[in-house]
Amino acid sequence: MINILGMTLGISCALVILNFVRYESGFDHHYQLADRTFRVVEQMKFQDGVKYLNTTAYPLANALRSEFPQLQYVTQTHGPVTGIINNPDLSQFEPFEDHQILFVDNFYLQIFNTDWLHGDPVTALNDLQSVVLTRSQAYKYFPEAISNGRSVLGRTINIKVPGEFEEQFKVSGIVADPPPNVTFRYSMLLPYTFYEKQDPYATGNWSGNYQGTTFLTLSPQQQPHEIEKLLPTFKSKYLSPEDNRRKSYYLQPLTDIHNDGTYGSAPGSYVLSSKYLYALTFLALLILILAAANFVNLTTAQAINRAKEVGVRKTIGSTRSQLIKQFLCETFVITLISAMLALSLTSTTLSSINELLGLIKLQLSIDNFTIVVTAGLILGVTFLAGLYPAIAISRWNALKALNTNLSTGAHNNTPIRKSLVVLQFAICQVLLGATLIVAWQLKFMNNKDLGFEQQEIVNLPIPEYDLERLEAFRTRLQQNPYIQQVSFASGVPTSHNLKLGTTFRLKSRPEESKLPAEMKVTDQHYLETYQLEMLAGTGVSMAKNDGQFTGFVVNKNLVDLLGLSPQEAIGQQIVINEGEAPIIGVVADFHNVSLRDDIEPCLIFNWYPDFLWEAGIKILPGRSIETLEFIEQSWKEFFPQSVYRFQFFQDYLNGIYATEKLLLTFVNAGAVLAIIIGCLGLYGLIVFSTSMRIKEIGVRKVLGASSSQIINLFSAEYIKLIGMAFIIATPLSWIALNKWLDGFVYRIDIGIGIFLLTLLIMLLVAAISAGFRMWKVIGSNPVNALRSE
Amino acid sequence: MIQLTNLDKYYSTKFTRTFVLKGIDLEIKSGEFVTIMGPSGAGKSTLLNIIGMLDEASAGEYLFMDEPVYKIKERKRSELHKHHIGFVFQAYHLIDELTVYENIETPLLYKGIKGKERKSMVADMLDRFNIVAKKDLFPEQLSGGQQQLVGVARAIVGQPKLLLADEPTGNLHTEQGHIIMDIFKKLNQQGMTIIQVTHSEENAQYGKRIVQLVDGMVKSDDLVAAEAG
Ligand SMILES: Nc1ncnc2c1ncn2[C@@H]1O[C@H](COP(=O)(O)OP(=O)(O)O)[C@@H](O)[C@H]1O
Ligand SMILES: [Mg+2]
Repeated sequence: MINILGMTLGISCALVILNFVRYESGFDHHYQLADRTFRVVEQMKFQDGVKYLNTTAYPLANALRSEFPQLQYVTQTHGPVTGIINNPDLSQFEPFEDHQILFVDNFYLQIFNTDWLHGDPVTALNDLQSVVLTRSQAYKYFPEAISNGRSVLGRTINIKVPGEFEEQFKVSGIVADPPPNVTFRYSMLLPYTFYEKQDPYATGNWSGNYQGTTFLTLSPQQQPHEIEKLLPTFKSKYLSPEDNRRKSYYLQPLTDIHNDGTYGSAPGSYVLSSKYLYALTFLALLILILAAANFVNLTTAQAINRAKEVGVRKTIGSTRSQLIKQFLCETFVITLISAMLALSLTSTTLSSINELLGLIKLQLSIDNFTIVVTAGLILGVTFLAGLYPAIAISRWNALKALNTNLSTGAHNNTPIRKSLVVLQFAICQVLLGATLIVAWQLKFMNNKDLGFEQQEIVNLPIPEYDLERLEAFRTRLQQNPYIQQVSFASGVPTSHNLKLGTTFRLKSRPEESKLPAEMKVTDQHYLETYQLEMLAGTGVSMAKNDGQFTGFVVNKNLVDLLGLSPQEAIGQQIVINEGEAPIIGVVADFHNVSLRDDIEPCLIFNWYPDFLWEAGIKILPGRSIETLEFIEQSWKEFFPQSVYRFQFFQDYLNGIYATEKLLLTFVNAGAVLAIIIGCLGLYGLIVFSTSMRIKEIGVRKVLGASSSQIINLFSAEYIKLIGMAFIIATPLSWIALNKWLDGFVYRIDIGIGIFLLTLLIMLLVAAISAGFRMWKVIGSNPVNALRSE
Repeated sequence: MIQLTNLDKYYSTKFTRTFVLKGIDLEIKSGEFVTIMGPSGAGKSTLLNIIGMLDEASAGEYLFMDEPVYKIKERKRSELHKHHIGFVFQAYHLIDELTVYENIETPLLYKGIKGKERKSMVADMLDRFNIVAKKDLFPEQLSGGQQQLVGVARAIVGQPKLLLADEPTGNLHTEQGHIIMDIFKKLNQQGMTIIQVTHSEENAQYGKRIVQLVDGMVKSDDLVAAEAG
């Protein structure tokens, strides 16, 4: 029973993790041209480092197309962007918000092949104001599409992208929804030509702040380095001398994008580094090994009880190979039962994981792959776990097996069995230590002081960029006594996907000294709302009426790079790409980009209201619910045309770290499982070894041993085994975990304490299961222990 | 030394109560050599186990050295096992993981006898039973007779007052049996009280008194006719 239970848990855990790893490592692999398709990425050199960008200037695709006619396809995209969708035909229609509006050219659908349900793939995006909907969106906007998709072709929807445009688009095609594991998800496709016409400045600009994603597909015989080799000459033709010096282009394979953190997350997507996936696979393997080691242990142990059976079978003429076959068959049946149970357990677990993590749209399910893996596991485990006991048992000669007391047969196997036990304990300890440390690190990242306030702040989008209106909105909000601060800004302190980039230098220093920086365009209330700590100077000052900024509040990191103290920095003139102004304030460092990355130089200042995209509203703690209603009402009064949407800043942060959370879930589940499997195995072993040594306990009592002496004897044995496991496990996990932690900028330091903790847990588990089992034997009359048979 | 009065041992199932021993009255004085005989299933082992405090009686009184046994606490019982009672089993019951030497040494460890003295006592036993050459072997490497010699050595190394032996020669050849019996006789002559169970009339003659047990009751209790050798 313990065999089956342990094995079932082990296999389920491995299957769940493998499924997840396969899902996460299979992103974008299904596109027919995936292995020839690359994203063009950019590296930007600065005095003290390189900045990695996954977007490139908009004119790049056209230039590549004309310079490299040998490329099969080059495509330029813009987005995905958020828009508000209206169906003008339906008066009752409630506007929808859509976050996955992607602008693509005709080549996009050649590279990223998809099933066309209606419309003509070749001409669908030819018309400037056409739109291709995914099936689910078509159903959403046109309920009649469910019965007759074709009827939707030619219908129009109204799309408003706040601050950019509001236009009518004619539905020219319906495609299948992209599968969940693609990096570039979209709900509708708009012609890139429309965006070009809409914003000719951005789309014609090589200089850097306006960027989209560019992909290319090589011809069948081409190698990526052949093209990469030509890129330096290519770029020198198009980029300004300064940009040409700093920027270089590389090709990143499409299938690497999701698992390579170098270039960060693509817009609207997330990256799960292969580092995590390896760690998870490793975890799954460890758990599987643990379960298999348990299985071998218990089977061997129990098989000794069958010594008599083996003896009898041998005397009636069973050959050794027949015996081995018999034992293998039995193992096979047990493994098969476990695997069947595991499959059903896995499918329930997978569907609950899907629900749990709706955020990143997992769709895990049992498929042929899982079945094949399971079959492989069954065979592998049968041989691993079945062969050793089978050979060991069948080797005993018939007479010995028949004659000896039960325990004698075991003597030969003791060292091997003991090393198995040690191995098992060691794996358990490695897992336990790894788990605690991974969990600790992730908790550390979650709880780390971000350098700004995150509680009780609600963020709302701002659809109109009119200063007077914003001020009126602010006044309105501040009528509510529970609202403490209202600030309008380009984004929250930890801007993840959306980052305004620029460069900065002291005006007194040469052009070459400029460094990249991140900009946050805010109003004067930003610092108070997010409670950024002032080190010197004053807060944000408002821009002049013509939009010219009047001063920068910068972070400590930026003044450090300038080699100045916060006090010295005040009053220094700073030049950025967009103009110049003096430093008027310095704030303490806060996580201005992402927790995973280093803090970057940051400039906070007021500029055109067009950059104030988001409101941050700080509410009195404990008053969110009643206040939210008020906020919504006020918002709808001021912006009746738009969709109301709010998010707690805290939730947004949790969203960014979804992959960390996910990992934590897996690691926790794995740890609990590992501990359960380990405990089951430990319990089984101890039950067995005590039952084998019940006689010994009886004999020792007859010889005058007291209960405590017997307990000491057995404890000493287990302590010795666990101690050996500890000595093996600790250095291994210490090295491995330090390696893993080195990948984090902000990491915990591991001391011996955590390992001692695992040791303690192991000892505790052993003591409980052994003590519980032995107490019965020790407490009863010795005659019960000594009775033969 | 041992006083049993109207002693019963029974096993209860739901509806019935099966008596294994019924109304046993038996007194054994210090220095006696008693043989318990009787057909299989008569309750001989059960009786011996109760006397040796490996098992408890269901009813009746048992005085060991004038003290009621049911009152003896676990701690005291383990003291008695350490200092006063030695056991020899039909199935030897040696500890498989320990060598011959270590097996004999174990009771001395529990008695708390210190290094040098312990060594000499074990050496003495090895000598006496002629198994010095085997001291580093494990039980499974010995013949049955040799194992039982070790069993006897282990039982008497602590110089108990009472030696209990349940069919000590049951698994041995006659020859090997005689060796054990000679040892018993000598020990008895040196003052050790011995109670043994045996099926062999011949072995019974080594003792001084024979108790016949049938169906859990004492059928006869006679002294052995003095014999020549
Ligand atoms: N735990 C027990 N439960 C029920 N009956 C038992 C138990 N132990 C022994 N008996 C019974 O007690 C009787 C006496 O056993 P035992 O003292 O071993 O006999 P002997 O040693 O004389 O052959 C036997 O019939 C046996 O079946
Ligand atoms: Mg018997």
